[in-house]
Amino acid sequence: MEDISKAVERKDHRLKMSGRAEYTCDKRMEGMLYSAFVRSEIAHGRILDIKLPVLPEGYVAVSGHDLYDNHLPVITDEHEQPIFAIDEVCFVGEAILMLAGPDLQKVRRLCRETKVVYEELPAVLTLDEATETAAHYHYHKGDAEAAFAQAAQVVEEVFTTGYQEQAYLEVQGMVAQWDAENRKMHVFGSMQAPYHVKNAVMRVLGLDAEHVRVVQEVTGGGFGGKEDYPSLIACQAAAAAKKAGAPVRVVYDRREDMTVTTKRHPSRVRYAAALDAQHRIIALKADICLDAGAYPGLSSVVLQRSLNVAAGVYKIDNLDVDGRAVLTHTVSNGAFRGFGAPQVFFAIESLMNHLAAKVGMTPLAFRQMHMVQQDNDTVTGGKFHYYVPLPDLLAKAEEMSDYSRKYAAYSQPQQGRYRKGIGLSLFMHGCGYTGSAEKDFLRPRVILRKYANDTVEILCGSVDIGQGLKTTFSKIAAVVLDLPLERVIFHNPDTDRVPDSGPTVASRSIMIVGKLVERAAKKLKAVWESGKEQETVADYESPELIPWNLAKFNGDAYPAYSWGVNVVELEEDCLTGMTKLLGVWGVFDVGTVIDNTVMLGQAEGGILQGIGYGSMEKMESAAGKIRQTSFTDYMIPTAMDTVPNQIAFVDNYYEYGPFGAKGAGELTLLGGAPAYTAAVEQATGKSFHAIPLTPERILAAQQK
Amino acid sequence: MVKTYMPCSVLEALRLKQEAQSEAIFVAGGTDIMPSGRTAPVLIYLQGLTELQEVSKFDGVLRIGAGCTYTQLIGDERIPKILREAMHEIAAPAIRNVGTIAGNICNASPAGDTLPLLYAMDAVIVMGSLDEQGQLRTRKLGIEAFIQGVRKITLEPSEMVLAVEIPCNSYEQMTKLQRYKAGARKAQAIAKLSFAGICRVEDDVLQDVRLAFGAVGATVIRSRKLEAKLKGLTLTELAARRTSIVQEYGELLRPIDDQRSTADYRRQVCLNLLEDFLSL
Amino acid sequence: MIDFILNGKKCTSQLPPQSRLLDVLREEFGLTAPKEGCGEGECGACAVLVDGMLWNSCITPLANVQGKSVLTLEGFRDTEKYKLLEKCFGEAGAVQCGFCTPGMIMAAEALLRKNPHPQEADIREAISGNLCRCTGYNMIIKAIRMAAEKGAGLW
Repeated sequence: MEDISKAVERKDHRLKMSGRAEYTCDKRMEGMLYSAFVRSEIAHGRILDIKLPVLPEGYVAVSGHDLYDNHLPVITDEHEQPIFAIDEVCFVGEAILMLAGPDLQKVRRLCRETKVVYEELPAVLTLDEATETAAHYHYHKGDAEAAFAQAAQVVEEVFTTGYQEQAYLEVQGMVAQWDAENRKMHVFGSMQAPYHVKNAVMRVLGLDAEHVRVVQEVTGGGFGGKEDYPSLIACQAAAAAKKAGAPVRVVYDRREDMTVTTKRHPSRVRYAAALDAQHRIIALKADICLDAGAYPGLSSVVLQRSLNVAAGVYKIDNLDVDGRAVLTHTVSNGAFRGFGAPQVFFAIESLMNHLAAKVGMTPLAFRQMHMVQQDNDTVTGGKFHYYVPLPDLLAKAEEMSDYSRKYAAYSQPQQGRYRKGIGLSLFMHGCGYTGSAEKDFLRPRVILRKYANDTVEILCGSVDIGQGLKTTFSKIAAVVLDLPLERVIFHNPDTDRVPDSGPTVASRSIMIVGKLVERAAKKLKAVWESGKEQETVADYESPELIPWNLAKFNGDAYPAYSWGVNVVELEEDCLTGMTKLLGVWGVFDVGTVIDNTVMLGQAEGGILQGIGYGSMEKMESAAGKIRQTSFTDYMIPTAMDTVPNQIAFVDNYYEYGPFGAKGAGELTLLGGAPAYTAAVEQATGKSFHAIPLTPERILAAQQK
Repeated sequence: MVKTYMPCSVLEALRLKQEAQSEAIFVAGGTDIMPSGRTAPVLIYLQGLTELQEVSKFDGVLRIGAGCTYTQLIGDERIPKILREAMHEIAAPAIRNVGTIAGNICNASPAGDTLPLLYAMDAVIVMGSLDEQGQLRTRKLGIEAFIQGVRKITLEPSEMVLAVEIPCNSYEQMTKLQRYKAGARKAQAIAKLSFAGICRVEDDVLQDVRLAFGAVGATVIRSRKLEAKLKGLTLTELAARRTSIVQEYGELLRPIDDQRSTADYRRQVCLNLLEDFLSL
Repeated sequence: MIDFILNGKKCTSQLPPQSRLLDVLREEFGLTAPKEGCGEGECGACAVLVDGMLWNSCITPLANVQGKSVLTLEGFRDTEKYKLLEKCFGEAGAVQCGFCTPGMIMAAEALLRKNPHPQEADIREAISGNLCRCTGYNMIIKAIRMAAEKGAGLW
């Protein structure tokens, strides 16, 4: 194998294709018990009493009192989410008890028969009402006040975004098995972060590292939704398995999953932009607010990413950016592909369009006036250390989509029922964790183990959740070692066998962990002796960066950035506000592409999730309850809602990534929503400030 | 303990129903009952009844067997094209392969996809029961009378729906047939609202007109009173009165806000579609 | 007791006729290819062929397959047609997380049986009841089109 980008059949293709892949729901164990939950029916209240029915023999109830430590470790020690609510419930659906037993129907019935008596307490249900913050950051650059004082024009706008549900096809699930003889907990399940799960189970059950083993099963999609939440279920299942002395399985049903698991944070972004007489943005103030839900979880780090893209891909000399994640008595929000960036890219890209219109420029020309370049400072005083290929991406997008000609044509007055529009978005994604977490906390490691038969196994805690990691990691090792792909093995991680290479999140796997695979492979190649068992190890080494200071929100937030451009063309029906896509284009710089087909899959899927986010994926909370809790009511696009996309990649080698690769997974989602809404704005001649931009919102604006 | 039966004939099905009365429910494709979790002490499965899967056209009446699936009807050229189009927009193939026309009617959801057209076409529901001698007895009721509210139908505990009859002149002689379903996506979507309009214009005069609106009230809304006002108008008169007619319809619609859409949207789109339809 | 043909073999289910076909297949007959994605007929992960037609097994009462022939991926994966689909899905990159795949394959098979030369719009419609969150569908559509093109005579 020579050309790393040339597509291969995925390592796990035949297993999954044939239906032989074993997901958590397919797992059977001797004497396994099924489980169900008693959950809060109210948004906020004190638990006064729990009336449990008499449990038949073989059935157990597990509560927070059964745990060594009832708190889920996520990031900080404050406001940590209880594994089970004991005194107070803080959102509808919060787990109070788990029942387990041999018959699932009976377990469910026992849960329904359990009565919880509450004293209801006042509930904070919306971001606007919220006062308590889970996280707060602020940064500034230059002198925004002075710039505003000199401005020729000041424009203020407020943008809001709703929930987005990951809607992985496989619901959350976990199986726990307690080995009483060795006092060891074995946990198997659907997850993105085996070592997060392991650390959580250790803390909650009071076990040391030797006595907890976590194994990832084939995982049916994650998109961030299986970053932190599986730790909670694992603790619940593990507690039950220990108490019952039998394996316990938790597999949510879809409505339960959609009611209680983490989602994309709803947001409100206020902007004030100061423009000079030459139509240049001289200062920008941003006030970003995310609804964290009941428990902070990952909200602080999600918020950090929101703040880092407050100025989009634009060079604005004076900035004042404030951000808060606020607590409400609603389901907790967490990680979802893009991690705080999609909300802000919708807002900043829409603002750019509105400002362009105000100064009489095209959206493209106005953007071109402001785009960042290599060696510019980032918003936090870091640097864009590498070539910024936005002009190349735009040129390619223009060539593929004929954007400018169509934009001019659709700007002419349109007649009739159907009106066309075309929208453009520019975006970037900081690759890997924000700040210095890789070197300070994660310290990822990869081991390559060569067996006597000269096959090589990659040992790391990174997981394939559908994004193709088994294939891409194996290719990296195979190409370095000049081995056929089938001689490189990648099993689903088992924490008893693999080192911690960090969670599979933050578009870090290829760039950070893939680099470790490459380095370990180079080491192995250097000492390779055929027929001999050998092992090499690679540990993380940080590139030279401007040190990150979280308190000051200053420095290089990311080692590198990936870049993208989306164009969406559509037709709107002014009788119904409904739209039909006519064309979708995506041009991306993800460094070197490790596998053309795998990367295309990331782009195709990410773009559609982005367009879904901007258009149809409506999820609301009413009186503390999620209103769309099923695939019947929560709309993700079907095959009939898409068109053949045209996608291209621009090569931009990154020296610290394997073969020059950068982060790729999240980038592809970011531009869909703003490009979609821009196209609707052109078709309708109206401005919009909220997503999802449903036909309801479109028509309401048109009928005004 | 639930009792289940799979009768081999309509008479057997009716005997079972007569015995169990309201203890029993019929299950055809199961696409509504299964996900709803609804059950009953007695379940009578109808899928094996080929008698209920016949289509015939005789004496100016199109008769569609209660058990005909959407897929079957979409492929049957005797079914009016516009009704086939409506069925083609229901859910997705796996649902259309088992869901039945009588199921759509008896489910009596305001959002039922075939309903606005069936209302506009004056569809008649044919019901069967057993008389004292155990012989089949039928009665017929217009669909407007048959559906009484959300999931409420006029069916006696011993009855079952046998067929739907559509007078052929309600579509064959018409000059304009339009329908629209507003769903949140292009497949697998429950209608936010739906509209059906049928009319016949001769010599620039509106001779016949039927207008029906779905998912903007407890049942499909059709007003014979307003239709009567429209009939006989010349196209010029119609154009002059169009705005006021649309307003009058606006007062009839009773949409709600729910997880799928808003009352304002439902009303506005219905009226936009109506106005568009009346632009003859 | 309900008798039906499962993947070419006569079988009898001991479960009540009102059981969901999906539970019968998974729990009683130990099959794992049909998956539960939503439990309400929206996602198609549980789709199987019944007498050659695509059905969602999660909303099919067992009673409705009495005397019929049920085909799951387990009964299809040794055929030439499957092997071609497997190759085309692999080449097109049509499988990511894999959870929707068994249902998607059954939907493709249902389409190609009826229409061996589908247009793009036919393919979109044929899989419109099979939700996929990973691929954005286009790679699946390409895979099915490739299979139809290469599969002359198979369907």
